[in-house]
Amino acid sequence: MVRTLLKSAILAGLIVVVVCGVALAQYSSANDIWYPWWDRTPNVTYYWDDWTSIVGSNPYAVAPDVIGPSGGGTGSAVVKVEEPGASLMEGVWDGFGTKTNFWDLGPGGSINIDVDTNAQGMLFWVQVTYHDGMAGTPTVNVANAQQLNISRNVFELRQVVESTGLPGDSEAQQWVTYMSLWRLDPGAVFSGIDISTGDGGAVIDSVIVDARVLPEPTAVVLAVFGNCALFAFRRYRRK
Amino acid sequence: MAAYTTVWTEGFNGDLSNWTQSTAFTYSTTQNHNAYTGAGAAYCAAGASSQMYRSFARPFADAHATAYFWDYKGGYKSGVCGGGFRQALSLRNAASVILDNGISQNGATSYTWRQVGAGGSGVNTAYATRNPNTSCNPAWILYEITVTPGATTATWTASVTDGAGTTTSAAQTLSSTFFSYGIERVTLGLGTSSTPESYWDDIKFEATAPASPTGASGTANSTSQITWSWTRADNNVFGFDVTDGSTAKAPAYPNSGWLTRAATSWAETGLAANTNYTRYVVAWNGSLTAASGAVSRYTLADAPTAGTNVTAPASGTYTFAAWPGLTNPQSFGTGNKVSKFKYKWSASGSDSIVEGEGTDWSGGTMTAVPGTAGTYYLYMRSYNGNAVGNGSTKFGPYTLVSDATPPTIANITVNPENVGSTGNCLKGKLWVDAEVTDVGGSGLSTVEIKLDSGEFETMPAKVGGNPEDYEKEYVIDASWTNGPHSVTIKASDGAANTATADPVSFNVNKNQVSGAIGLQGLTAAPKYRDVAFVLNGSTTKVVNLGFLNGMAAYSIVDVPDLTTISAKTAWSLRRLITGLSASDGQYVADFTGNKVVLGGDLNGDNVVNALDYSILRGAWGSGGAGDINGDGYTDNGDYLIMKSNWYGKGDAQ
Repeated sequence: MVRTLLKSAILAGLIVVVVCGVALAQYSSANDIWYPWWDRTPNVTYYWDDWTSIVGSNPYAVAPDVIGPSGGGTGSAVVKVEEPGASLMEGVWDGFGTKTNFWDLGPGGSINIDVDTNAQGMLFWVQVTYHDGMAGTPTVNVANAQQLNISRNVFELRQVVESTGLPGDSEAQQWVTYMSLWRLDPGAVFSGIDISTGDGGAVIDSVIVDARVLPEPTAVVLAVFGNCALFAFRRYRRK
Repeated sequence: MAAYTTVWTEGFNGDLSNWTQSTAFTYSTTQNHNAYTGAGAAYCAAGASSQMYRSFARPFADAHATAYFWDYKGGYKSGVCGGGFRQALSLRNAASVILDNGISQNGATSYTWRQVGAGGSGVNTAYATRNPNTSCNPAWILYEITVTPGATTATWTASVTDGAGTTTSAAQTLSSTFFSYGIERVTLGLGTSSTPESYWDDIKFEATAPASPTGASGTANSTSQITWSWTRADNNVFGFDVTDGSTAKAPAYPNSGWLTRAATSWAETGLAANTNYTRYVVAWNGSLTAASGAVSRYTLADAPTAGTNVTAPASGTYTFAAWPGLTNPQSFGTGNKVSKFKYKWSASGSDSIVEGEGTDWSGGTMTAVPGTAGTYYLYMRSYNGNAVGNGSTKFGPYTLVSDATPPTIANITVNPENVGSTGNCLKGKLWVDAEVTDVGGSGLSTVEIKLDSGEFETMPAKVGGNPEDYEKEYVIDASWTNGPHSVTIKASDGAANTATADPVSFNVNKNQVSGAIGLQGLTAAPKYRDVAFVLNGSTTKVVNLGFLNGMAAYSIVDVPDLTTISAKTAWSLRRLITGLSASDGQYVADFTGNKVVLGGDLNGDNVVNALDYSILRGAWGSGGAGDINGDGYTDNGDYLIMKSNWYGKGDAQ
């Protein structure tokens, strides 16, 4: 019976994963190279890559291209371009490889990401893909949150996702995805995920945010108990 | 016969001071004839050789001298009584002519005369007998000498009246040479010794005053010479003077050139033109003179001379109406002026005007012209105050026509060496051309041009052009004012018909801005770049400049009054220089140093951002759009320039 229940639970979970996977598969990003350690469902993933849902003038309000799972939350990016940044560069551009629709934020330009949060606290898995070379490197910060190590010895990650270098370059020209993990403690006020630039500005192709509500303490206790009971039950059966 | 005029008498009153002693007489009161004032006589002691004379400043041609000689025996009675005298009354020149009347040797029984010179033999000739019946008492013997000039020769007479009252005379002839010397002194004594003592007293010299010269006249020979002429009225003349009434003008005796009795004229020189001179011709006979009446005459007036006493039009063509006429810049009058001119028009260039010809012109402007058109010469003659003419001066030729049509002025063009895009005339040369043509036939006399409201000045014939082409060259420099200018051309013909064309306007902009410009990172090799200069933020001037070592000099003309200028290329951000000023429109703005033009803006939006980066990368490896440094390739050098100005913003225009 228990096995049946477990199989059923596992099956149900797989179904959910498949369903979610099917849903997310409708929008994929080459810049989405690090999945969070938690399941993306029922958590929420926000994708800004094509920046197609742009509204207003500078600063621009841009809804995510995709939110997964569908209907899982709401999010918005406020993009502020500082002169002489070129703003959103739609389509393909020489020197920028295969990337399309990316922002030249200009010196001091910024992107503020707002997503649904929960007073229980949140985890934010933030991936920002930017062009490295001429423009500067953006910084990511979540006010009132703390940046967590991704693993024991890894605080943040950067990976070249596409080289745009040409012969004779004296420095690398490339797209780089930068990932950082942030924890917003329960009760902390969330004011968005800030992606800011210095004098060198930044050229940003995409922002992918995975958000997860921190679990309640009782649920944790129940989970511990449950696991303990499951462990004991399996030991009992084995005997 | 004219009456004698006493020149002097001598009664020996106290001394012999009127006489020059050759061998001394002495004054004595022992004897005194007492006819003239004086208590004494001139005394020659027995055995003495006394001689004295009394001189005249000027010689006489005519004379009558008398003298009393004291003969202590009253005559010579042979074997009874009688003194041996050697005494005579003489009229003499200094040495050449001697006329003696007296007793020539001791013991002589006769009175003798002697003539030395002027045809004389110099031999003592007896002509009267001393009173042989004398009572042997003293007696005063009267000697006389009379010189009577003829036209060419003269006669002289020696006379003696002895103690008995008997008068005897002897006449002789003097040759014409006499008039070379004349009578210059009266001499007493022969200078040789007499046996007895002698006395002379009561001497008189008289002469005939000359008659006034007749026919005195003057003839003006030139502007500085008059010949004075006269006729001698009688023979009692030794010479003539020509005076102005007080001062001798002709050389006076005995100076070289003095006027002898034979003179009939004298040319006076060194006179002023057309000036009236009054002269008197004075005949003189020793100290006796007679003057003619005043004779006045003007010297000739200066001949007509262009520029001096005639201002005549230049040779050429004139209309009757515009004939300017002639003027006399000296005005008319005497005293180095011209009293009047006479003129005549002649078609011949070899004609002249002579005395009696022509029409008077004595005042104002002579405007008379011939009655018919043609080419004429004007002949003029000057006249003095005596209406005597001088000279024949030709003026011209003058072609007199009836031209009443002004010249035409056409095709006026203003041709600047440098012209702005809007037609402004820029710094540099500017030529104004026009075609000016005479229509009426009198020929062009002047073609003038004036700039704006200035003075008309000559517009030269165009070098290498047609005869009707005229051209004036101006140089527009910093001294010109910007804005509209105009030129006005005026032409006159030989008939003084004048045409003035409507002003032709043109616009000048002398302003220019110049300086050096540097492009950041531009190759050192020669490189041409179009540089877009923007003036005052609005006017764009694109100049293709040749750069070397990244620098170029530029100069932009036809610019407005400037306060700002900016520069930009297709590879750079705009650089602005403000605060320009120049009082003469010659601005200087250097895009160097911290004003060098920075590179990186490849899409022309005056900022450096990802759009420019995209262009740079798109052009990588080739020239063109990304070749910021102009080395022919878009490469890392250009990348670095762009990066140095990443997110840079160019200045406003």
